[in-house]
Amino acid sequence: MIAGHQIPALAAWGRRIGLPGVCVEHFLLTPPVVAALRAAGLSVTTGTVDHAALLASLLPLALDAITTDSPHELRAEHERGAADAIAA
Amino acid sequence: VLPPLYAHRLGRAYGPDSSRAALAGALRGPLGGLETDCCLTADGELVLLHDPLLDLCTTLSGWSHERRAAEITAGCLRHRGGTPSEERPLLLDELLELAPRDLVVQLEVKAHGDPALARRTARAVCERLRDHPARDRIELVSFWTEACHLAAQLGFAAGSS
Repeated sequence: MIAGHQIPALAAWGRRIGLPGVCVEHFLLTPPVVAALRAAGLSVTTGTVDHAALLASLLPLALDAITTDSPHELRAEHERGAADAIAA
Repeated sequence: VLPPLYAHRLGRAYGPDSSRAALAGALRGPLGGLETDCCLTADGELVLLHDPLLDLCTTLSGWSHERRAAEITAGCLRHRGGTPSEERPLLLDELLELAPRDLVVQLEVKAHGDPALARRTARAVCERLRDHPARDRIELVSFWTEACHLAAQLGFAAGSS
């Protein structure tokens, strides 16, 4: 359903059958998509995110979890980027 | 704020997909959860493989649901590039023994082109975990709506992917 961008249908289905959440490919996530899913009471997670720039672009969405091949390197890269931004 | 980071395929940067080596690498630092895939075997066990077609990720051939767990765990996982490793496929029970008690474990139900198999696999996962201490930190995920629906009916944290 996500592939067809039928977000309201996905959200309604999830609510109807009692799903607690959905995992959506990161390139399909936008603020309206996340808002619609959250309005249906669904948690929203995504993956697979292996680059700090991509991670940074997703942070405003306040996702419930992000899946990555390399959690330690991604976290370190993110923290380096944040420190550099503060120093600049 | 950084959301919880889950180690994909138990940490595929650190070893073959869903292997002990991958898990050991993922557990070397702070982590929000573990993500892996599970396939049903012919004798009702749950093996952690990304692909139900064994040729794709192990040194074996055929479909996971047509082989017994002992046969599958006697094979070896392949590295990302396809070369064989010395790592044996893990069973779900083994992962639950190895995973720290405070970590979420996200299990993706796999069943290639077979919704009935997806449903059987989801049922097997739910039955296996029904009275398990880890039950409340297991998230069941699947591309198969049948699997999600069944898990939700059985009271598990399920999500569509």
